[in-house]
Amino acid sequence: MGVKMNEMGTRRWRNRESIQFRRLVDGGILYDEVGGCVHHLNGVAVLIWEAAGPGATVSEMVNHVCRSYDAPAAQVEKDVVDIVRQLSMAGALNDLDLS
Amino acid sequence: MNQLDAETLQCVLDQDVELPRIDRDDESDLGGLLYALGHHTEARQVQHVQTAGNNLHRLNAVTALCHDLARIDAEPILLPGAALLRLYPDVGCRSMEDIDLLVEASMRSHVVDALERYGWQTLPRHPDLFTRLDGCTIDLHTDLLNGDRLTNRRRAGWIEPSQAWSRCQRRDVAGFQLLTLGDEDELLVTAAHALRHSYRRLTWLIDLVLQLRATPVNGQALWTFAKGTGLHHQLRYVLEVVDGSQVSLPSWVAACRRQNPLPAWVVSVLGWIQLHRQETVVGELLSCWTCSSGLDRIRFVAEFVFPRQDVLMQVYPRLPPRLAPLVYPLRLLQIVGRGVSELAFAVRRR
Repeated sequence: MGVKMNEMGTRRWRNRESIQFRRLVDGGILYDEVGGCVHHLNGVAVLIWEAAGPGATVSEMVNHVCRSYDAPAAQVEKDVVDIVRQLSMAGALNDLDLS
Repeated sequence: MNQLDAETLQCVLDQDVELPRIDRDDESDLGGLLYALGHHTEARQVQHVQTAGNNLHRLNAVTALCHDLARIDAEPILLPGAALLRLYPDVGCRSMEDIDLLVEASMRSHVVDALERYGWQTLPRHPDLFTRLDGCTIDLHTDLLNGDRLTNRRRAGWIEPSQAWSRCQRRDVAGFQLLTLGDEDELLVTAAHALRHSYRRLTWLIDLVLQLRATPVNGQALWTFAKGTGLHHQLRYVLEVVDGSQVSLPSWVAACRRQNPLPAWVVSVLGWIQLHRQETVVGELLSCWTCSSGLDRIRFVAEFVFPRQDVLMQVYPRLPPRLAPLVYPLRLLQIVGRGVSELAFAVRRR
């Protein structure tokens, strides 16, 4: 899954169907029905997960996070890219351009 | 109720007092919930996420089983506590040792077949307990009050399973659509179970308060229902305990306590149970004492002390089957030992 940072921004990402999400008081949890793996999400990661429901690019995710946290895009972009990378490596997000 | 438990319940249920220093058992019981309520420590955060993951894993397994069984009209009912997860802030707030399922007696063999297909196996000497390599454990019931384990238990209050089935409801439990008991049945089962285990886990009292708050039930109607099942003593006792902790409850609870005063000896015994909830079996004895006639009480106590051999063999898992006749002398020694220990504790306190 060696997706480079500049490549990530141009792709659309969507939640993998077999992953279940539940909101927790401090974020959320992902449960992979197939592998039985669990991933804990912080607040920003939950927003990314929600944005990726219908499919979203990194810039759309950044906008979604900025609106929720009232923060400038430059401040959150790196976090969003990191989280998208982690979620894609964990198999929780699908790259629509490749799938 | 002792001050420490009362403050813990107030802190968890009303968030209006500081969290007192709680012991290790309560910490492992309530850690996830405490984290969710803002009492943050690293250990509680870990416990919160682990509990959420475990619960999701178990509920997924049970949901797959239930949906499979629904196709042959054998869908089980999810019993409390798993069913009560719906009343908590999130799926990481209530830990569970196993998942209790109610199945119709006539469908039990189909359910066992399905469990085996999904990889569950019974534990030796525990024909109703099914475990899997992933740590999921299911406790299969054909009645609500473990009447098949101790047959005299039905003399101390009984909900006819067929009636419970007719009142069951499909509800959302942590995002899963599952059959659960009706509100009144669920409340009484929680009350009876908590007493039987001497209110050992504070979670059971929290379950009950959350149910009382969430259930749109009329107090008088609930009391009448409880009297009809013979479980009104168990309900009255638990109301005494939770109202004694001074957490906020529906107004009918105080009225119910006034209209149905408890004998002084019962209040004393309840106080004793709460002080020693981690180690006492007096809750089960008090439960035996709720039978309506003296003869029934004696029968129930006798069966509790000396149950059937197969039940008693579960208490001594390492005893080889060929030494089965030894279980009764061993039980006698255990009873004497426990009696002496509880008596010594009482004398020391005096």
